[in-house]
Amino acid sequence: MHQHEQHQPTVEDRTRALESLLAERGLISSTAIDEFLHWVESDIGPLLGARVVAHAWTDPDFKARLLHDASEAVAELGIDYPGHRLVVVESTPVVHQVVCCTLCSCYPWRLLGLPPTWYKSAAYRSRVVIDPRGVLAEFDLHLPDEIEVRVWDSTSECRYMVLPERPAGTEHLNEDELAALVTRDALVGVARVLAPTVVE
Amino acid sequence: MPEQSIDEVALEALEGALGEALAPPRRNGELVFDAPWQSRAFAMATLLQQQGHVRWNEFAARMSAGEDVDFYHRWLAALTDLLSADGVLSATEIEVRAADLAAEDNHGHTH
Repeated sequence: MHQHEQHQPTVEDRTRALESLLAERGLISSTAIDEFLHWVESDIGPLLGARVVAHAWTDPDFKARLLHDASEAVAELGIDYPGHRLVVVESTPVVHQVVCCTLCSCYPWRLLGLPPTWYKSAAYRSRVVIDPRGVLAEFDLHLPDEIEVRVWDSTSECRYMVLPERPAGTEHLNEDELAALVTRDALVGVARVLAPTVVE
Repeated sequence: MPEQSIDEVALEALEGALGEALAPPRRNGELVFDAPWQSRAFAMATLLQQQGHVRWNEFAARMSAGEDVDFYHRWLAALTDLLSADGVLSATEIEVRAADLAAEDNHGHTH
């Protein structure tokens, strides 16, 4: 006897159902969903900040322009930065830069994606300006006393991003490979960029 | 990029409304979806919020009250509840359509 199987709808089926009904009612088209997801996945996020850093590491003239006027410089890479001023601060062997927003949670969202919850926490916002070394130590970043730590307070008009130091042992890497090393935490200044572990 | 339909303000408002406990899963600042349906559910909620059919504070309340352990299962349920409460779509319509889609898949099943 042939048993016709009744498969219970899965959560995927329900999601597809919702999508098809919303499209039929003229509320949200599937194209709008595709475009939104494309934007979320490729046009925003730490990937953009990482690209900027990798390009600055490999092109000294671009780096100079970036440090002089970041909003204009990132436009050269096709990154649109309307609305507020972007400033990039460079970490060096003698100065380590860290970014925060003491008043709320201003963040260079366009380059780094959505701010992490710890960045928005009252603890980070208040403590990083008072005891930056202590806060960095909690992120497992221990800086010797000889290194100066500078904290930059973002506002709604002006957002900061860190240009981290390029790690040693990366001379052979191309821009894409360099960009892959740069984490969101390094762009905020609570981590350093690490060279890839040597394989073979 | 969508014609100004989504922007920084909407996504930050979402995270503000949801708070730390209910923040969408992320890794290194990027949203993490374990399966495409999750990303589509996320997109639908955000686009509907832009249109005013979803209010983030009400969405957050439903997320908070949701019982499913899985974040995006709760997300879909919260979205369905809100749309149903607003009279946009009913939970029944969604179930019926979902059953149709499930049945269609089975007829074409070639695994």
